[in-house]
Amino acid sequence: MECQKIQILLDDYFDGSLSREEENAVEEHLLNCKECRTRYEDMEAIIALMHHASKPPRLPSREFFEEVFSVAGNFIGTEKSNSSSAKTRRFSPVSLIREFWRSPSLSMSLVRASAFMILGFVIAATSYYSRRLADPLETTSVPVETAESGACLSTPVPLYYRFAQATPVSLAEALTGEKSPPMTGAPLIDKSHKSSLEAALEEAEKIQKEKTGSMASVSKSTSGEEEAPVYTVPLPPDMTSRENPLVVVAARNGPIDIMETIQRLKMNLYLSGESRFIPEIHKIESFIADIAAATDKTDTRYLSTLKTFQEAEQCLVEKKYLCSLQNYEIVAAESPGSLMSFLAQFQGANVNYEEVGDYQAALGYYQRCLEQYPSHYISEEKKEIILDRIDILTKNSMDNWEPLRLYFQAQKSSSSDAIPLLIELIQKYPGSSLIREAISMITANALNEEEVERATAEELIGFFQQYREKFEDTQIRQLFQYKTAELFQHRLMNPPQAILEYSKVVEIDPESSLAKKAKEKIHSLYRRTVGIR
Amino acid sequence: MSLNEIDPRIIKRCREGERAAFEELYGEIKDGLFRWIFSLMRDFDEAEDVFQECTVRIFRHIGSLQEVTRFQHWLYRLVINQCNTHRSRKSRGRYIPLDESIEVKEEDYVFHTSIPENPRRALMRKELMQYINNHISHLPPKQRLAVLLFDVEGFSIKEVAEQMDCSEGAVKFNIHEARKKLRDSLGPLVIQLRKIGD
Repeated sequence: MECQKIQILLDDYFDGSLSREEENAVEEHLLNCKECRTRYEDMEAIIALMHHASKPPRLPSREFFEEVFSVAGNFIGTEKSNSSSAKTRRFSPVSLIREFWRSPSLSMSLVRASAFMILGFVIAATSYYSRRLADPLETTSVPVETAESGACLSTPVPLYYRFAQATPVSLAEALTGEKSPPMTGAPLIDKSHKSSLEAALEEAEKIQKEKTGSMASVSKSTSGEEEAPVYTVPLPPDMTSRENPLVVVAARNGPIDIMETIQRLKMNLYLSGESRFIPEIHKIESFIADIAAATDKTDTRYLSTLKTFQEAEQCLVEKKYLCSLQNYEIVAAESPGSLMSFLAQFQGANVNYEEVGDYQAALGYYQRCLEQYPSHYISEEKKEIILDRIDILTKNSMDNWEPLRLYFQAQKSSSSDAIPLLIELIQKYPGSSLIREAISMITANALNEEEVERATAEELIGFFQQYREKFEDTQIRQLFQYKTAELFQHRLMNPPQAILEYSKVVEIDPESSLAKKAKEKIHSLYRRTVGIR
Repeated sequence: MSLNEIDPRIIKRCREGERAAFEELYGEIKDGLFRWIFSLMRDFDEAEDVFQECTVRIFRHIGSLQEVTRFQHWLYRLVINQCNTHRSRKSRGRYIPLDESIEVKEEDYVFHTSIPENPRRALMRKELMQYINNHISHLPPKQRLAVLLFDVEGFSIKEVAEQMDCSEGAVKFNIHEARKKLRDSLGPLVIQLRKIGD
């Protein structure tokens, strides 16, 4: 009866919205009633868990934030002008560009980024052809890095690579020829380029109108010797030309360039690890296939490399690691310096490191990742992984991978099998950098009640006490002691002994962070055993 | 949460269309905003999408904000609406090919592999979070929102009522209902966890 009444009040008590009298009554009851106290503690625990689970595992990358800002920056002060319905507006290339510019979705901004690339081709190709007309001898081009704004647009080939490998920010730099400070939200392209784009789009729209509805066809324009053939392809149903003028513009430059660009774009996307781009990639892929079918021209080497790469990924999924490694090696060898090659190196290293256990090879692969590829291929996340692993690999002596092998083997084994492996590691290789991890991992395994017997845990405590003395490093000794206490607390369910062991942790080095944790444990254990909150 | 402490002067400058102010504002709010959206969406990729949509809306509509001191309230309403829109758009069931969703998972697996310090524990933690998130996201929308705003974000009942556009009584009811449901669904987990230790 009393409990029922109290339980109704518990929520409010928790929120602190009871009167003083009610609060006292609840408190008194909680002291005496175990059931209600547990109920209350459950609620506390659930809210704590909810807090914990509401935190994102990580924040998005800096690039993501910059990208969003640059997209959103185009909307500043647009509220009024955009309020009228876009549907009723008559279609024109200009409005199309406006919509294109202002489209909020990230995928559109991506499409936009690719449009810049393709615009680059259009402009580059146009100026290239016109320059060829003016100077027939000039067949190669030189990258122009520091010329005045727009000058780099007249350099076709290097631009092509720069576009293909560009991030949105560097794309902006390439297009405007200016170094734009990050996060300014400035439009990615300046006015003069915008008008070129408008012209290109207008033309594209004209071509598209003539060809609408037709099957994939190739019409090689005969009006001028220097003009590129025009390719049109039936578009995927949800990518009509109005939404996606880049498709038409792209087709004008012929299949090879576009395919390679798009493939590179695609690798960029894959590399970014952003799974939401995958639908875009699928669309692009089918688009490439259409162009290839329409033009009968395929960059077979590139496509075959890509296929090998996909096979490697497939093998990885199927856990055929050697097959996967072979394919990665082929990719790395066939397209040196490319993003795909980098990715193959990286993946090959991961497979060696995580699955196959060929650490020598993994180290080589990781080092090549850093040495042979431009830094912008390597995302922060990947860089961290690479550096971390190189660090682990080089710290463990080059001619003896045994500790590492034991460690990883233990990681893959069941709890009862892992413990002897880790004990072996500690006994045989006390100098290894993996000692701390091994100690923590042994304890974690020993806590697994289903697999590890109580006697084993007791033996482990003996082992810890014995081995503790062999290490001079205070931190390691402290860790041994801390883990001993944990075993007493969680495995042997002996809180008084655990308190004693935790206090020994504090004794070893009272200033360390482990000592701080131990103190907290002592407090909470004490509260729990004595039974007061 | 940092969203609470935005200087009204920045908002004022944004309202006047000053680009630098937008940059300042964005720098101030982006992390907190993302965390808040994540706690509502509970899916990283979707949270990124909604974050983008919200940022665009903030930039676009901040000029229409009448009182600068109401920015926070305005922002929360905007975020909540956007999350709801995003959800309903998604639930309308656009066609998503089967293999695509599988591929996404593989991508995630392939590109984010790293060996954590203690894999067993990390895995346990991850599964635990998924389990909890699953239960939270199965709450009815109003209850979920109320309990998140109150228990996670730390708003007062009155503020939650304002943001949800309902009475304080309704908010209380929703919070209590949500807690009750979570207690029922997560209770066994809590007992388990207590066994293992904190």
